[in-house]
Amino acid sequence: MVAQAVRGLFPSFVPGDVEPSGDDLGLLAELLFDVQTGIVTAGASIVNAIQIDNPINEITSGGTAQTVELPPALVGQIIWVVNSTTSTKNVFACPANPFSGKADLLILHSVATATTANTLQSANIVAIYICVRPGVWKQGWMT
Amino acid sequence: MAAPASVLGLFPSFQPGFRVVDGSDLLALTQQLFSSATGITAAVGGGQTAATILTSIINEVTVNATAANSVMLPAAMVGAQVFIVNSTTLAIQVFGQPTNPYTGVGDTIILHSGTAPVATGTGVSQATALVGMYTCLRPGVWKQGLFS
Repeated sequence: MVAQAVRGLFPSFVPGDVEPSGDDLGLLAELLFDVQTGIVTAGASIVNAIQIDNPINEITSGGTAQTVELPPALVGQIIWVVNSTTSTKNVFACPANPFSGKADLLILHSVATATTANTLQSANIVAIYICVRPGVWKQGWMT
Repeated sequence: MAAPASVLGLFPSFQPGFRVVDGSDLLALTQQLFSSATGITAAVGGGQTAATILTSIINEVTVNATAANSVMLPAAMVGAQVFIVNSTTLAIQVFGQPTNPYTGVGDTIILHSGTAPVATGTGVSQATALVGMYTCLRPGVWKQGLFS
């Protein structure tokens, strides 16, 4: 079974004296510090969604309600999306999470429990997406 | 008094130079970065003494029968960040530890809109649907930030 939590991604991290895998250490660093800026959205449907792969992401261009797609949700993962454009963007959860075999869902920033496949993120908003349980992201807007 | 009081002190085998490290330190690192718990119930009756203790970095509260039912942050260690997702329809009350083993006194929380720590037995409120980020800036003191 493939790990559904970030903590399961580092097989060389085991108790005792170890020489940790450089791959695991590299992945850890990527999960913490990798940044993608210059993201340009291209369309208004999930088919056109730009894939987000990094923990920190900046959308710098694109039209209203154009789309990006979060990575497959892994418990414990935190994704930041900075919308540095003047228009709202549409953020989709992954429609086919390879870890769960199902579509991921989102809980909107202003909602306590209800889930949805996608959600809007307004212009100039910094949003955080936290994977709180398998396949589910919680959105928060920094105020 | 128990040490360490800072997250950086949790990884004693991380020393300069090429070396074998203690895998337990690596696991402690992933615990500090990625641990997560859901299905958390805020303690009925509220208050600090009986508050549900949070042990993960990401914590989703899903059961909250009455407004101001309570949860408690782990002992405040400098550099720690804890997220609380309030996936209930009522506000929760968030407390620090009544006695932090590193400082010997109760942890306090600075409200998201304030500058002074609130008394340890008072706690701070976190409204429905909000994500709270609690950052330990100095020993025994959390700063609350809110994502709407």
